[in-house]
Amino acid sequence: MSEPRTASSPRAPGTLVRRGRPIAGPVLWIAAVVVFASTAGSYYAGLGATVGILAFLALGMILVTGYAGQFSLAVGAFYGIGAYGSALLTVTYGWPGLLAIVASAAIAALVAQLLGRPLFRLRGHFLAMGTLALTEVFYLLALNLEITGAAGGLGGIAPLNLLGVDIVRTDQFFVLNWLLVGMVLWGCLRLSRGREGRALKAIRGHEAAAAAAGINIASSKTRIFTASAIISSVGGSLYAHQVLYVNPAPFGIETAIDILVIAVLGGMRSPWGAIVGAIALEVLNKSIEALLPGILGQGAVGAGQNLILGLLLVTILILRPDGIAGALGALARLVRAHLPGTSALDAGAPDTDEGSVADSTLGMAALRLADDAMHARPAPGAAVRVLQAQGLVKRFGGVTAVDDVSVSIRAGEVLAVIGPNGAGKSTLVNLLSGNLAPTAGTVHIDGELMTGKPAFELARHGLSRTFQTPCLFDGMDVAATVAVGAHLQGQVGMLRSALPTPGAVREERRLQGDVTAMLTRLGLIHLAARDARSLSLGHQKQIEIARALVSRPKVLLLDEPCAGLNKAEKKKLMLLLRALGAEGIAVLVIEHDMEFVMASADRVQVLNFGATLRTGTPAEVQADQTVIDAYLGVAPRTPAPSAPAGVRLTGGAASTIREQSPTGGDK
Amino acid sequence: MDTVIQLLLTSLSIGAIYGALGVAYVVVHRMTGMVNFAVGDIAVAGAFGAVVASAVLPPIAAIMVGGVSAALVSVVMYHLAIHPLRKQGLMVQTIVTLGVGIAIRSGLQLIFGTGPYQFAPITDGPSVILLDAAITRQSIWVVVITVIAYILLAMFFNRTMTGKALSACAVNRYAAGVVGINLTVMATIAFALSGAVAGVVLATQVPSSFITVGAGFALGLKGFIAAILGGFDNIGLTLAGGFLIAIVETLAALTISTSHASTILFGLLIVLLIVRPQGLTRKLVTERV
Repeated sequence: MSEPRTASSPRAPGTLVRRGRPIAGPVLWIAAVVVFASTAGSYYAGLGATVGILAFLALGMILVTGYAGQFSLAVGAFYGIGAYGSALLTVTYGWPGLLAIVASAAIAALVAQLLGRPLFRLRGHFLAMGTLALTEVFYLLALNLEITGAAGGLGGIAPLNLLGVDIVRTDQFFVLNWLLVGMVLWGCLRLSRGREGRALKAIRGHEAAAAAAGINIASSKTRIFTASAIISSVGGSLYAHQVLYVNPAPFGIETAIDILVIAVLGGMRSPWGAIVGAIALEVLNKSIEALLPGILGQGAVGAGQNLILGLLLVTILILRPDGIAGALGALARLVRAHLPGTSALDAGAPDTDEGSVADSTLGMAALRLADDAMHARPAPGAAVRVLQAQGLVKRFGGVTAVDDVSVSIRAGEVLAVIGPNGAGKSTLVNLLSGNLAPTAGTVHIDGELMTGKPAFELARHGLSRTFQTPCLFDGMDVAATVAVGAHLQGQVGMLRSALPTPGAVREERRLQGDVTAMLTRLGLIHLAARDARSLSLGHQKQIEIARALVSRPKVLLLDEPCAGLNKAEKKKLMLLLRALGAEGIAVLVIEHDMEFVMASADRVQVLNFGATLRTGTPAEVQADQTVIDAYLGVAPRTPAPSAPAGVRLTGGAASTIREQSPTGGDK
Repeated sequence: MDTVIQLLLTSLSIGAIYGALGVAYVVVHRMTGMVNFAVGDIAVAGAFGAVVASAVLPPIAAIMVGGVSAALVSVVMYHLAIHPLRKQGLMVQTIVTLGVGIAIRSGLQLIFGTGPYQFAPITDGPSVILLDAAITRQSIWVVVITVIAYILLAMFFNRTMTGKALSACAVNRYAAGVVGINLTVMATIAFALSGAVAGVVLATQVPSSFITVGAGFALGLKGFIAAILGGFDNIGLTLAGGFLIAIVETLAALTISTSHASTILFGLLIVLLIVRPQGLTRKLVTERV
C-alpha cells in the first residue's frame, strides 16, 4: 500500500519529473482494505472503522498544521458541524444522506473562510486560541441549544445509502472509511509534490521568501484551512451515519486534542503520519485500558489515559518532532544508503564543475571586457525604465534607515548599490520588493504604482529577489525549492494540485522543465535532490538566485549574492549578471566585493547614511573623492579631539556632497 | 442602581482572577513570544498546593504556598518541556504547552479526583456591605492580593535591573543575548513570575467558592481574552480587560442564561481576534522575524 518511492531510483540526469507506477499504490491499498474487512470479523472491523475516521480527521489537521505550519484546533468544531449537520438535515428535514453531507461540508467551508481570512493575518498562536475557542463554542452550543437536542443529542439517523446499498455493517463502514482515507491520503501526497503543496511548505519554511516568490500567503492558508474543514466535516457525517446517534461529547476539545496527538505521534511532515498515528494511538489506548486498572484501579482509567496522552505529546515532540512516520522514513533512508549501488545519485556528480571561465586566469575586469565585446548592447538611453522609485524614506522609530533615496533601473541594465555597512542598502531592497512599506516615497514598476502593495503583488508584476541571508525552506530539496520560484508560471490550484488532471500533469512537467533548465544553467543540477538547507552558504545563495530567476522576472534584486562564493564562482556570477542584462532583465545588485561590483555593473549608486552619495558609471564612482571618503574616512579638517572621528566626519562629508549633487541623480 | 453596584462588586473579584491569568500569559509572552496553553492548569495546581498546605498552615500562608507551588510547576515545565525545544519553532513550543496542561490536569485528577475542594478564608466574618451591595471578605482579599501582585510586577519591570533585562528580551531577544543577558535565566524568571501570579490569585479565590481539577481549561481561555485586551503586552490593561470580561460574563448570566454565559465569552474571544486583535492597546504586536 506504499506509494512507490521513486526519488531514490537512479534517473537520467536532467529529468526531475518523478515517474512511478501510479496505479500500484491505490490497487494495493484497495486490496489491503478489502482483505482486512472480509477477514477481521465484526469487532475489529468496527474498531478499524473508528480508527479510519480518526485518521481521516488527522489528515485534515496535517494539511493545516503539518503542510502550512499553522496550529489549528478547529477540527472539533468542523467534525461536529458535519455530524450535527448530517443528523439535523436527514432526521429533522428529511434530506437525502449524500446531499446533507455536501451541505454540511459547505457550511464548514464557509465558517473556515470567515474565520480564516482575518485570523491568518495574525501571529500563529492567535489562530490556535481562536480555533480552540471555536471548538469550545460549538461544543457549548450543541450542549445548550434545543435544536441540537442538548445533552441528550439526536438519534434516529438512517444509515448512509450509497448507490442503493445501505451501509449498515461494520465491515462496510471499514471499507468506506478506509477507501476515503486512501483517497485523501493520495491527494495529500500528490499535493505535497504539486504547485500548491510547495507553496504551503514554502510558507511554513519562510513567509517572506514565499511572498517574494509571488505566493499570496493569507489566501493559501485560508484555502488549505477550508480544505481541512471540509475533510473534518465529511468525517463527522460518516460518524453520524455509522453511530446513528450524535451527542455533544465527541465534538469537544478532547477530540481536537486526540487528533493533535495522532498527528504529532504519527508525524506532521507526511500524511502517512495520520494513518500511522491513528493506529498507534488506538493500540496504545487499548493497552492502557487493559493494563491501567491493575495498577491504579478502575476509576483511574480516564485520568490515567489523559495523563499518558499529555506526556506522550511532550515526549514525542522533544524526542522525535517528526513522529513515527518521520522515524520510519529516516530508517528507510539509512537502509537505502547502505544498500550497494543506490547512493550513486548523491555522490556521483562533481561538487563544482570548473568550467573554462572559472579556470581562466583573467581578472574580472578583463572578463567583463571580453564579454561586452561579444554582446551588442542597446544604447543605455533607449531602454525603458522598468523599476522606478522616488524619494523613498524609511524610519524605524527614531532611526532613519533610508532617507529620500531615488532609484531607477532600465531594462537590460545592471545597477550596483554599494555603501558602507548600515548605509540602508538592504532596507532599500526591502522597500523596493514590498517586504517593507516605506514611510514616504513611491515605487513604480512599468509605470504602475506599487507603493504599499504586498510583496506577492510585486512578484506578480515581475519583481524577483534574493535575501542577504539565504531564506530557504526547511525539509525541501533543491529542485522543489527552486520550483517554488516558478509558482507564478503555473495556475493549477489547490484541488488540481491534488488530482492528476491532464492539464495539471502537463503544467507540472513544464514547471519541472523550467527548474531543470535553470539548475543546469547555474551549474546546480547535480544538487537537485539534496536538502537545500544542508548545503554550503555559497550554494544556498546560488539556489536563491535560481529560485528568483525561474520566475522569469523583469526586475531582479540581489542582496549580497557573493557572500560565501569563491573567486571562480564570483566570476561566473558576474558573467551571469552580464548575460541577464543582455537578455533585457533589469538587475539591481547589492555587494561589498568591489572588484565584482565594478566588473558587473553598468551603473553604480553609492549610499551613505541612508542617502544617495553618488550615482555614475563604475569608473566615475571609483574616481570620486567623496565616495572614497565615505568608505575610508577623511583626515580631520578642523581637529575635534573629543569626537569619534570616523563617524562625525564621514557624516559631514556626506551632507556636503548632497548639496553639490542632488540625490537620485540619474545619468 | 443596587444591581449595578452588585454586578460591579461581583465582577471585581472574578475579574481579578481572569486578569491575573491574563498577566500570566503576558509575562511569558513578552519574554519568549509564545503562548502558554498550560496557564490555567498551572494556576489550578497552585490552588491545590494551597489546599494541601491549608491542612497545616493558616490560610494566608497556605495561599503563599499555592503561589510558590504554581511557580515551581511553571519553572519545571519550562525546563523539562520548553527549553529542550528552544531551537524548534514557536508552533511546536505552543503545542507542547497544551500537552503539559493536559498532563497537569489529569495528574491532579489522579491525586484529588474530580470533587470540589475548599479551605478557610483569611478573615472570618459576614460579607461587607458597600453601597447596598455585598462582597465577601475573601473576595476583597482576592482584589487586594491582585493589586499587590500588580504593583510588585510593575516595580519589578520598571525599577530593577533584572526586570529591565526581561523587558530587553521582550524587545529583542538576540540583542539581549549579545549584551550578556542570560536568556535561560530570564525565561526561568518569567515562567516563575507567571506561575506565581496565576497561582496566588486563584488560591486566594478558593475559600470564597471552591476549586476542582477541571477548572483550568475555562479559566485559561478567559485569561487569554484578558491578555488579548491587554495587547499581550500591557499588564495594567490586561487586568482591566479581566474586569471587563467578568462584567460581560456576569451580565450575560444575569440577563440571558448562565449556560450561555461562557458561550458568549468564547464567541467574544473569536470576534475580538477578528475585529480588534490589539485589544485595548493601540498597536498590534507583530511577528518577530
